[in-house]
Amino acid sequence: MASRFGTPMDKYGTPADGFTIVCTTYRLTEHYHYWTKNNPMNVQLVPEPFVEIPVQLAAELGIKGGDKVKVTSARASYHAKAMVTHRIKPMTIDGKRVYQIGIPIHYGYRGIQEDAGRTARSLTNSLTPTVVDPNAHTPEFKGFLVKLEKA
Amino acid sequence: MSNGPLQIKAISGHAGPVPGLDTSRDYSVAKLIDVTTCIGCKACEVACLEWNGYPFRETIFDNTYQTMPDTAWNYYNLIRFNEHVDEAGNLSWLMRKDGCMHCADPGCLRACPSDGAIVQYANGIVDFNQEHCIGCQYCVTGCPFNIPKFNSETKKVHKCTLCSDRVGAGLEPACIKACPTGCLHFGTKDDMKELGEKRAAQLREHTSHTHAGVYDPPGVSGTHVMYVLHDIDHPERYGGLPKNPTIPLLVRIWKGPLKWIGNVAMVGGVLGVAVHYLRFGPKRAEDHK
Amino acid sequence: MIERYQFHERICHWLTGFAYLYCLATGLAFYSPYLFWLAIMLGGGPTSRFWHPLLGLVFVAAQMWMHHIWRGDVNVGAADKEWLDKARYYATNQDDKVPPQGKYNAGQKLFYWAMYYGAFLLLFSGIFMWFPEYISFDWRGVRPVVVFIHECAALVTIGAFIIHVYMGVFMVPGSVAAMVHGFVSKDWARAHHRLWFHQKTGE
Repeated sequence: MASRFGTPMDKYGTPADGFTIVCTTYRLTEHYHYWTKNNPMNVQLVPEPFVEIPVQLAAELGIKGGDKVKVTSARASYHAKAMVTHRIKPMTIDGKRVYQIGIPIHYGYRGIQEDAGRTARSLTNSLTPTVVDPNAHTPEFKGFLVKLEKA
Repeated sequence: MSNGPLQIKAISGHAGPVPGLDTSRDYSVAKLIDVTTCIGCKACEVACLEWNGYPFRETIFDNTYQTMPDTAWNYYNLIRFNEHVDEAGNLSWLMRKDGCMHCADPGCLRACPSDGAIVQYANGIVDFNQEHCIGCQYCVTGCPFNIPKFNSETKKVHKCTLCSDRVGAGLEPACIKACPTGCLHFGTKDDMKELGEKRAAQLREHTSHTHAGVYDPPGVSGTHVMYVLHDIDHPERYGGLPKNPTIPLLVRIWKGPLKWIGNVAMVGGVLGVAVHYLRFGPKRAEDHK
Repeated sequence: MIERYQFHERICHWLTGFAYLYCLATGLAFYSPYLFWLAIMLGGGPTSRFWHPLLGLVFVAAQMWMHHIWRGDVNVGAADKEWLDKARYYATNQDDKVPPQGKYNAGQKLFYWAMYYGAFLLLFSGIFMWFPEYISFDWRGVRPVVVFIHECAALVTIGAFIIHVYMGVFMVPGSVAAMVHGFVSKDWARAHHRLWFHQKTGE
């Protein structure tokens, strides 16, 4: 049972609507939250926002590393470059192949790269659902459905 | 390099003992990089820039966590990332801190023509002295690891100094100080070799890494920067570490036999013509009518 | 006195020669630690490294100018084969046993072509050594090869140069004067290049 706070973003995608890819969000070693995008040292180590995509999914969609991609959830969309990797393996759930992609959270409206116009300035957390667990109200950022396409 | 009077005896606000206290740096030093416990956090990259006073730079996304494709004149060390998938489909995400290996038989030093531009200290550190560098880049030709990097504005070559200034003061190199997992170790060559072998044995006996070993290539008479690798048989998987590096053969011939042949030819030539003149003298037009 | 070298020929020769000498001095400095002081004396290590390839270009350009002037005189023919067979008599000053020569004898022509091809080998390898930062890592095998070619070609030209200077300054008196003032005596011409002497004077 999930508790809900009412907001205009209370929309949830389903596989039937085409949201067939599982998305998760996480942090990088080289960045910390939203302030390191203003620090030349961190920006040097990981300069641009990216979406980590399994090799198999990238092959299916014709996406190469570095291509611009668009991730869409029922609530918003996110634009960044693709990182094609072996580190995310496809899952088999109920006999069906299910893909997962991952998005680091650290980019946004202002920052060194943002101010230079080199990113799309989209926020990872506009994708995530407005759902909390009923006990501690921990937000559900770690598993939600999206669509992925070349942008 | 003896550091006698400048060796540090005490440090304010320092958690723990003075690093290297009572360790004589007159011994040969070495850096041991345990690739098996590296998390690729790049603290060592940043520490190196900060200690050497180099600016942070603009980089671009290149489908990898690797900061940039190669080291640079002002970026001495770089973590190289490689997603290696074996035939069975098992993935290893390999990360290796790349930088100068401080060879015991350095190819850069052998190739360099300029007096004093490259020095090798008794403790094993190979240091560039840009004051005497003429910018010819023979060192790049001599290095089996492609480490020295040219600055096209100042026309000088730079590389990791193994923090010779810090080591000279009895401190550990900046990268070792910054490493959060402790995968970077610094000490005498013997101690680091022993530590590395122990770790490799531990990996072979207690983990699936049955081919773990210490990378200390004999082709350059050993190096003062060594690696513990999960798979010592395939160093090339760790971002192109050469399997059996040596100073290139043509460089060894160029700086060895060819020099001798050249010296004999030139000195012999001059002596030869002098002797010829004494024997035969000049051609006089009057005598040859 | 017979005119052997006109003004522009003498300029060309000395330009080539001095460019070569600068490259020789700085090159020897890079060749041997015992001779590195030559570079220091010529303005320092980096300065010598900077000017060596530029003077090398001057040398090649002057060499090509020289080729334009003298190409007709340096072709190797049947008469030269004969001279080479008798070269040991020339070397031991038994010139009466050597057939009469044109403007240049086979030995001089050998020197000319050694420097000509040497210059191109030095130029080709030298270009890579001038801007080695543009050689990609994949092509790094090229680096020691071009250095090796450069040093070998240089040593060959140095050997030839030693003999050239020896011959011109010591062995054949009057030669340097010819290249400085342009004229040789009739006796000199008759003794060393009889056929050329006949061409010039009819005697």
